[in-house]
Amino acid sequence: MKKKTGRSFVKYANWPGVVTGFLMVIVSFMGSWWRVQFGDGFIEMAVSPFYYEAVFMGEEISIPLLSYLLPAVQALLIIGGFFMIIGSLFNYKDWSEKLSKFGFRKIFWPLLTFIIILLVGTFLTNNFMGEFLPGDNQEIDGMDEGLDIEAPYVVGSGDIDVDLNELTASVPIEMSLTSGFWMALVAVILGIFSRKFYPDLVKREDRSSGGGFYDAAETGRRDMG
Amino acid sequence: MESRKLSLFLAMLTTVLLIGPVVMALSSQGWELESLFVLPEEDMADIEERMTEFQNPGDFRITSEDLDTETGDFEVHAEFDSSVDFDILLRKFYAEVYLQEEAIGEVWLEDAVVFEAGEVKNFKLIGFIEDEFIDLDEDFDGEEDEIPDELIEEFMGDISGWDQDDYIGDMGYVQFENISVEIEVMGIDLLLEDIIGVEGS
Repeated sequence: MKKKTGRSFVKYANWPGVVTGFLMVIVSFMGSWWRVQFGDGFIEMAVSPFYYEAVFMGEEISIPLLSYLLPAVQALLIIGGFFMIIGSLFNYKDWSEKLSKFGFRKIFWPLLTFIIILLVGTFLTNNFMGEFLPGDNQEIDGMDEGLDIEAPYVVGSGDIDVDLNELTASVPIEMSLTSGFWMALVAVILGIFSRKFYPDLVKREDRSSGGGFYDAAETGRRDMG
Repeated sequence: MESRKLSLFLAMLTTVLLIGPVVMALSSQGWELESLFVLPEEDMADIEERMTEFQNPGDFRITSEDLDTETGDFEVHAEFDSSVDFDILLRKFYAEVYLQEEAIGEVWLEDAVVFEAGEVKNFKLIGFIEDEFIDLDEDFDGEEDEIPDELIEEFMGDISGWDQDDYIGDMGYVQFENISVEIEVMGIDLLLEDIIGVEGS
């Protein structure tokens, strides 16, 4: 493998990967990705794979497992970000791919899982919640009760209408994705680009200029197993 | 070989960072798996307290009533002593005024009123008393306990079961029934209908 000079180091570093790594570190400190609010501060929830905040009428609610687990997930994301940066900077090293792959997974899978959970969650809430809770014209203990949920899908506003005998309540729901989510999405898109497309781009350029660095690096990695 | 070591290290790192906190959480909860997912008792107590506050946000009291015996216009002065740390917007209030089991008039809220958190707020309900029930007051200028039985009998008409104390002038025994209240609390619109029984002052 070629020994890299300062100039070639700049040339051969996987810069989109480096940016992805930085974004991952920043994202890990940006808190929630998604917020849902019932009423005006009646119930507020802000969540991400490494952060959660649940407030009921101003009282913060804590779940023991999450209090321990989420900081560790946050630490993994930070470590993943740093590994992504190191792996992308030292792109010519044998271990770089493993390191950046590890790093990238720490943002890719949480984001994907998060999106799936949000979509499935809102779908189930909108379509099946009424099956489990008393719906229109159903009777409980002789009372006509009704529950009508019109929750938005991930983003937007809607209402939960509760109709009990003497009480009718309309609870507005507001859902929004935060800047943390969008930054995570950018990080993932950039990460995919850095892993799938950027090496080919640089390789093509490298070959056309007669450098052959990437071919040598790849051979080195293959040899390493 | 180096590659395997790196892979092993990375796998171990993930495992330790995910399993470790679960073990620590379990240990902090006395190794009871269920308690990992359940809110701590103090949080539950706080939530219950907040729910109680939400259901009973303060004391509602009628301080005085004014009846214009010429027109039948009826004003109720009330006060709400908020015991919660959030504002309550009273949009609408409507009630039927009852004396014994007879509906004698109606009252409602003239303008929406905000009960600020932790404050005492006075507000006014306006309405009317039906003509047939204010005749008694017009014809009698004396003290409450001096109302002659004949006068009561004369003006009570077909309303049975009234006694001397149930006269309109003082409104001492009126009740508000079939109450409808529309409020907004923390962005939630609540409509309570046909609530029974709030006693007058």
